[in-house]
Amino acid sequence: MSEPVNKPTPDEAAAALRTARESRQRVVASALGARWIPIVAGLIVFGYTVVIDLVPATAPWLTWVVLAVVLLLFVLMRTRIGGSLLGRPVAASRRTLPPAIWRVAPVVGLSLVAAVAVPLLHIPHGAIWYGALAAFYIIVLGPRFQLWLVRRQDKD
Amino acid sequence: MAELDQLLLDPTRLAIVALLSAAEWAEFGFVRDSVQLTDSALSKQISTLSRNDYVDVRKGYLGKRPRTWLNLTDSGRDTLAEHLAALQAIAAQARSDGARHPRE
Repeated sequence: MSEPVNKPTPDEAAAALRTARESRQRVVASALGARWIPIVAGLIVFGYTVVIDLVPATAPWLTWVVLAVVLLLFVLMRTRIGGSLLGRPVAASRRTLPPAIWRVAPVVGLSLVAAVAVPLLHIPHGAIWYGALAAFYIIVLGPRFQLWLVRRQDKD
Repeated sequence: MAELDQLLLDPTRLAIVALLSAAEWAEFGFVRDSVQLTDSALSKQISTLSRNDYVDVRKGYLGKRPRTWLNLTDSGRDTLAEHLAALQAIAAQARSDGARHPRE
């Protein structure tokens, strides 16, 4: 036979719900708050666009190198040991994060605008400008946008 | 109707389980710092939760340093969801009672 459960008062219930919400937000803030990850990702994108603009001959093999590095980081971050190696003590659950489509939508949008605008406006070194914009988004705006999405999702 | 869970009525255990519900996995040290417990106090809570199949504990090594990772089991996740729904029902009931019988 199960033990009788002491029913919490409404105040205790509200406090418990607050505790649960704050705990969840702590994980997301911590997972999104590893500052060096967006900084490194932004610098990789910017460095890549600078090199392929100034030395176009490097583009074919450099693209593969960058893709391999990004893939390796992604895989490492999804594993316990890899996460710990990269100084990431927690991985936010996909259930907690907003859908991936929303998280990558600004970068995809920016790429589409750049793909149309750069040839149309004949911007010199257009790839570098695009790289700078993408890096700015990844380093500065991206983490804030993701936190805003998470908090908005938590209110719904 | 959703039911309260006896184990999760303890605020510390609720905080641990809620924390893990937002994570795929978390290092022991992260959970300890987040819920502000000592190593031994958290170990005791994790033992209780693990014994009741709420939390899965995995141990490993990073180089020569031992590490412990925690994650919520599916049954722990379901129990937490039901417990939170029951708490919400209590809070909502109190709000509707308050609206029906405002203080004079």
